[in-house]
Amino acid sequence: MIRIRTDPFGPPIFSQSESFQEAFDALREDEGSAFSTYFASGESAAWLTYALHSIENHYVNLGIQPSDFEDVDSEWAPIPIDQSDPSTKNAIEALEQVVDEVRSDNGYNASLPQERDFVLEGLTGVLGKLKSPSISAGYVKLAMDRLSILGRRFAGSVREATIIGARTAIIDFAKRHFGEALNYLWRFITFG
Amino acid sequence: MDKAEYVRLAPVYYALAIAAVLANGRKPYTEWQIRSVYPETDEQTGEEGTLIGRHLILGKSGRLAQCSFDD
Repeated sequence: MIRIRTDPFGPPIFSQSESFQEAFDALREDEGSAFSTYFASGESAAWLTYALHSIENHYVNLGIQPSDFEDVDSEWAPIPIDQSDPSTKNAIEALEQVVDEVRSDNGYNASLPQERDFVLEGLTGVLGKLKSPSISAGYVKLAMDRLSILGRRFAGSVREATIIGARTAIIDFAKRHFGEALNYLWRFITFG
Repeated sequence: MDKAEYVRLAPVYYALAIAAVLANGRKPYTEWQIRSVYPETDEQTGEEGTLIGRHLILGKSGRLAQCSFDD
């Protein structure tokens, strides 16, 4: 939905992804979401500003501390994997394809063996978890991080489609297994 | 509302704030430009700030959606 382009020196650039309008419309129709309420307000800037003020006030009144955001336990909480779910099968197959292609890429191995090993070890570990009874959000993030490295390395090459396909499959898997709590945030994931 | 609920919901409102800017503008924005759409003035110091400037909330959003960063 939102594409964030980073730069080594310049500030991040936020823009609409190709699916922005579709995702934005879906969120607006999701009753109970902040997006839906914003739409009900007539997409009122005043309503949104009020809500943001309220968030600020709650931050102070609740005595929010950095430790409240650490969230380590939930990041590593084991989530049962439904091995019969198509999203699981797709994620495993997509990651296996990426691993196979990277392993067989002699040029990558010759030019950047350490990066190649770093990526492969991460993805192989995630694959093992995907085939086990449970996985944590931390492993999903690890997979996305490693795929992002590959995405940069193989941008514009024949491997790009495979990498994008794996990312999509991981996101689908995460949506299916990590529930509504993360759903809104997963919808923001894009790889423009 | 307890802390856990706040921590879960606040990043969604920050995301909504960013999405609303992009939906209305239909052009790329820097993070600073988006923040400036939601200005706030500190009543005690008079210092200009932003309503989406809590780094803990932004960090939470960023951590959960860190793979959203463009290649």
